[in-house]
Parts: sequence; structure tokens; C-alpha cells
Amino acid sequence: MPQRFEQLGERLLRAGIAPRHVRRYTMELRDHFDDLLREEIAAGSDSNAAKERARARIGSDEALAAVMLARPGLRSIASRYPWAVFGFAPVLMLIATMVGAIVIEAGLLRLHIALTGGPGLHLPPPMWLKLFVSAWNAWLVYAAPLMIAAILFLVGGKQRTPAGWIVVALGVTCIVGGFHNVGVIWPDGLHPGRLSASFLGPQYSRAMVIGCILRAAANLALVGSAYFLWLRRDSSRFAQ
Amino acid sequence: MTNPSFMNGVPELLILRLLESREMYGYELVQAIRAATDDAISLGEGVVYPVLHALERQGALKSRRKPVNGRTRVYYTVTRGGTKHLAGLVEQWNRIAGAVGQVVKETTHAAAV
Repeated sequence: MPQRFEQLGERLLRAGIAPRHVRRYTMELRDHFDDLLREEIAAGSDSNAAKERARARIGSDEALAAVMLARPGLRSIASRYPWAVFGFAPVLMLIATMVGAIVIEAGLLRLHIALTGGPGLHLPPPMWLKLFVSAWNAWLVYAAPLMIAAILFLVGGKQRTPAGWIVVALGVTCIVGGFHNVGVIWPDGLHPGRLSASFLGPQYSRAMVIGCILRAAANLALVGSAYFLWLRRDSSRFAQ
Repeated sequence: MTNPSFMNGVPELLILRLLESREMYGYELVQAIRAATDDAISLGEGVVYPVLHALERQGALKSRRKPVNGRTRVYYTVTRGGTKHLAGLVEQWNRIAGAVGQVVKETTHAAAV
């Protein structure tokens, strides 16, 4: 059985009110309704009359929605600036991921050098550190775009964002995420090592471009399939 | 006066004034408004919550959740910023009430003459 004021909550979410305000509003309304019900029953009304009077006193769904919608400050950032959240944020999130990764890796390498007293920036680090950094980079290059897509999908779904914006966010994440690279060139004893984060890099070549296009296509295929399955499941849920 | 509606700011004023004395949750606050205004101001009771949320967002109120009899109630109190905001609203209200009172007095006087 749907909870009281659930339809009102759904309507507010679709109109762009921030989920935290919607959650609290419906919770407070339910609590207020229970208090009114108790008050009416204590005043001698029978259960049905008490429910009707409580509902009338608290206000119609129409009125309750109108007062909330009249306050633009209660709308979510995603509904006020969807182009920023679903258009620019994926790119910023990918950049932040790369910058964060480089900072962590550089910190780890410096720490290793400081703790072991060597081998220095020109000498190859131990195998375990190489493996760790390579695994970390692989995770960033292949999994981070998918995770960012999943986060944006969840945010969009939670805020009942129009499907068009969600598709934009997923598309931007998959395509830009296909072209971002985080890599490391280990020191060989003569030259110092180098950490790099780039789009379409670090060394531009035809093979690299093709690799990036294939990665973007794989991202699109994976995310697109997941989104398609979710749409099918969602439409069959509403059809029931 | 630039404000297009005489009721604009009134719920905020009443809420801040009543919460200034003690913390309350929504139902309690609505009862306090009814008692304080002798039922002269009657709103749909649920209408108070968006005002509370907006005031909290502006920093005029702060809220805390308190479990009571297995339920969670949200209690609101006025912040220092809220007290300043209230002073501004009271001043604005006094100006409006004074101006309206002046017009009513002059109209009544003219009708009597």
C-alpha cells in the first residue's frame, strides 16, 4: 500500500524539488496528519470523519504542492542547472579523477622513496609498487568512466530528471571517458620516471586514437545496454 | 511599497516570532499560530513546512531531529541571523501597518465630515 503523501512527493520530485526537501516534507506531513487524527478522535470524531477532517485541515495535494513549488530555493541544483550537472559535471569529474590519481600516485612514489631511502627518481621501483600503480591506472582508465556514469544515472533517477539529460550525461561520460588516459613511464636507471594524465595521450598516435575510439564505443555499449535494460524493467513495472 | 502582496512575509514573521521564544515542531507551531492570532490567520496546516524549509535554507532557522514515541520529529529554532531577519520583518510590518492605518483613519475621518 502506498504511503500517505507519496503521490505528492513524486509530483514534487518531477517538478524539480530537491529530494531531501521532498523526503522531509512528506515525513513532516505524515507526522502532522497523525497528530491531527489523534486530535480529531480525542474531540469525538469517528475514525473516517477524523481522517476527512485531518485531510481537510492539512490542505489538498494541490495546495501543498503549490506552496512548495512557489519557493525556487527548494529546487535541486540538477533541476536548476541541468546543463551544468549533466553536461559539464561528467567532464569535471573525469578531470578530477585524473588529477586525484596523479596526486595520489606521486605521493605514494615520494613516500616510498622517503621511507626506503632510495632508489631515487632515476631507478626503477620495486615490482609490487609497479603492479599497484598499474592496477590503479587501469581501474581509473577503464572503470572510472563507468562508475561516473552510474553515479550520474543514480542522481538523475533519484531526482526524476528528464531522460534526455540523463542520456546526455551518460553519452558525455562514455565518450570523454574513452579518451582519457592515466599512465606512467617507469625510470630506466638513466631517465627519471613520469606520471601522465591526458586526453588522447600521452603519446599521440593513430593506434592510440583507434584505441580510445574503441574504448568509448565499449563504454557506450555497456552503459547503453544497462540503461536500456533499466528502461525496460521500469516500463514493465509501471505497466503492471 | 514594492511588495505586491500584503500577506508576503507574514507567515515568516509569525513563525520567527513564535519560534523565538522556544523550539517547536510543525504541528505545535500551527497550534501556536492559531492560538496567538485567535484563528484570524488560518492556513492549510501543511503550508507551514515549505516556509520552515525556506527559512532554514536562508539560515534563519536551524532544525534537529528528535525521536518521540517511535517517530522522528523535526524541531526548529531561530538562529542569530533569524533574529536579525525577524527584526527587519517587524520593522517592515510596522511601516505597512502604520501606512494602512493612516489611510483607514483619513478615509473614516473624511466620511464623518
